[in-house]
Amino acid sequence: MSTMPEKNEGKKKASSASPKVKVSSKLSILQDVIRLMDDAGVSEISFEQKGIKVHVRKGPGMPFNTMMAPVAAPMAPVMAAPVAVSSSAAVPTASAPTAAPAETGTTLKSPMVGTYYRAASPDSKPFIEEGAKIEVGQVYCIIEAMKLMNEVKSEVAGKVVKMLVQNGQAVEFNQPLIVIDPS
Amino acid sequence: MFNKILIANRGEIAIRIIRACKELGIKTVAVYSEADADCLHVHLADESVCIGRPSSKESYLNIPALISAAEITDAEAIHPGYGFLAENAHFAEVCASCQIKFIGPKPEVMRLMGDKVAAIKTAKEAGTPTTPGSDGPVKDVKQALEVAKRIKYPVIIKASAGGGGKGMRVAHTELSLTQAFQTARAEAEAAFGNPEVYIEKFIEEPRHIEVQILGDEYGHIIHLGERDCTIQRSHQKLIEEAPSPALSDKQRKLVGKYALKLAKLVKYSSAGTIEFLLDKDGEFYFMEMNTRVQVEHPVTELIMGVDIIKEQIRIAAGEKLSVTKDVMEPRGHAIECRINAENPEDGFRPSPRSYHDLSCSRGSGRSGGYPSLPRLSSPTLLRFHVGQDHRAFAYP
Repeated sequence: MSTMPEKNEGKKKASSASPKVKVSSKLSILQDVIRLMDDAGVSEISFEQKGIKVHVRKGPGMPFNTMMAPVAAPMAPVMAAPVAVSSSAAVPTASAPTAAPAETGTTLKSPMVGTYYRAASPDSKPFIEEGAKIEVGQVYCIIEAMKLMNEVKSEVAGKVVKMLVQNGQAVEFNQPLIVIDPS
Repeated sequence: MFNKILIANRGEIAIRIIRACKELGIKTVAVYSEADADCLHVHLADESVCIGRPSSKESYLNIPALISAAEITDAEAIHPGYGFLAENAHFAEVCASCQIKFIGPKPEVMRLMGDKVAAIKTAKEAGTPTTPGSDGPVKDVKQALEVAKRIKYPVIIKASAGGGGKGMRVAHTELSLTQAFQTARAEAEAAFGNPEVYIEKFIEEPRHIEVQILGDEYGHIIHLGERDCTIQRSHQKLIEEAPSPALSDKQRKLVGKYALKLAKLVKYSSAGTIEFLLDKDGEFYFMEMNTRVQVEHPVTELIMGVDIIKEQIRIAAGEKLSVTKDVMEPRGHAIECRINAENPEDGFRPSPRSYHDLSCSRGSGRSGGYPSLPRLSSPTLLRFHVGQDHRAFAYP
C-alpha cells in the first residue's frame, strides 16, 4: 500500500453484496428522513425498517465518529444539512456516538471503556432523569468494566438536558454520555 | 477458531495482526488512544474502541481498559503484539481470569524467561552455553569487582529486568567498573523499576544470532532457523537477515539444537526468540529469550514460508502446529532494513517530520512496508523486507 486509504474505505457492511446499490437506497431513505426533520422542525429521529436501524441527529458541522460494528460511509459530504448518521444491521449494536449536540450545555464524556447503566441494579430507580437537577459530585450512571461497577460522578451542576446513551449500551473512552445545562 | 480478536497494540504490528486475522476470516477489534484515532490500524480493523488518553499508561498499557474493550466487543482473544503488554505475565493472567485467550506463551514461562538472571540459570540447566558471569544478581561493588577479576575484563553490567538493548554498561577497568556499577543500578531502577543488575563477560565484536521458536499447546516445539541481527546502532537493530551469512551449516545446526533444547525444557508455547552471541572464535553464548513475536519476524517468514502470526493464532485456538518437520530447510535469503527518522548529523536525534512521498516498488520478491509516523514511540519510520533466492540479489 503506497497511499493512505480513504477514511471510511474499510468500513463495509458484511452483508453488502453490491455496495453501490445499498448505498443509494440508504441515501434515499436518509434524504426522506432529513426532509421530514426539516419540515417538522425535529432535531433528532430514530427508526428501524427492514433490517436497518437509522439514528439521525442534526447539529452544527460534526465530525464523523465511528465506534463499533460495521457502519456505512458518512453521508455528510452529500447532504445539505450536516448530520451525523449511523446505520447498522438488525444486530443489537451501539449506535455511533456523535459530537456536540444542538442543545447548549456541558457534555460529560465517559472516563473509561465499559457498559453503561442508568441505575445501580436492574431493580433500582435510575440515578437521574432528563430535566432533573444535578449537583457536582452526584452519581449519574455506572460504567461496568471487568465486573467492577464504577460510579461516574458529575463534574458540573445544573439541569440534565439530555441523556445520550441507553441503559446497557457499550461505551468507549470519551464517549459523550450526558448533557447538562449549567445555568 | 476464534470469531473475533482484539489487538492490544497499534502501528505496524497491529496492521500485521489484522492482516493475519483477515486471511483467517477472523473479525478484528482495534484499540486506540485519543491521539491515535486517525491511525491506519483503526481504519483497517472491523471495529475500534477508544481506550484512553494519549499516554501509553492510560491506553495501551491500561489493562482494565483493554479487557473492558474486549468484553464489550465480545472479543474472544487478545493479541498483544510486541512491546506494551506483550511480555507482561500479569496481563496474561488477567486475560485468563476473564476468559479471554492471551495469544502468547503461558504467564509462568514469560516470568521465568523474562527475568534475565532466571533465564540464564534455566539455560544452564538445558546445557546451553552461557556467557561467563556473575551467575546471579550482583548486590554491591565489592562483589562486582570479585566477579570481574574472575571472568576478566572487559565486563558488561546488565539490568535483570531489562531488555530491548537498554540499561547496559561496559567496564574495561576496576575504576570504570566501580563508577559504572552504581549508575547502572540507578538507571535500572528508573527504566525498569528494579535496580537488580548482573555482570557478564563483555564479548567483543560479537555477532547477534537469534533463533525463532514456535510451539503449540500439545508439546510440539520446532525452530524456524536463525536470524542475524548484528548490524545495530546504539543497541537498536537496524538490519536483520536470515539465514545468517556468518554461520557454517554445522554452526547453524548447533545453535538450532541449543535453542530447541531450552524451549523444550521450559515447555514453551506460541512464538518466541532465543538470542545468542557468537564470538570471534565461533562460540555461541546464550544471551536472553524474548517471549513474544518480534519486529523482525517477517524475515524468517520469507525464507521458511511460515506465517508466524497465523501460527500464533492457531496455537492459541488450540490447534496443532501446521508445520510438522522438526528441521526446516530455508529457501533463499531475506533481509529487513529499518529506516529511522533520526538525524545523523545531530547525534541521531529522533526527528520525525512529515514525508512527501513514498513509493513502494513491488517487484517480485519484494514486499512494501506500511508507512506510519507513530507520535509517541520509536523513531522507526519504515521497515521493508526483501526476499530473494540469493543474498547477493537481496542486498541491493
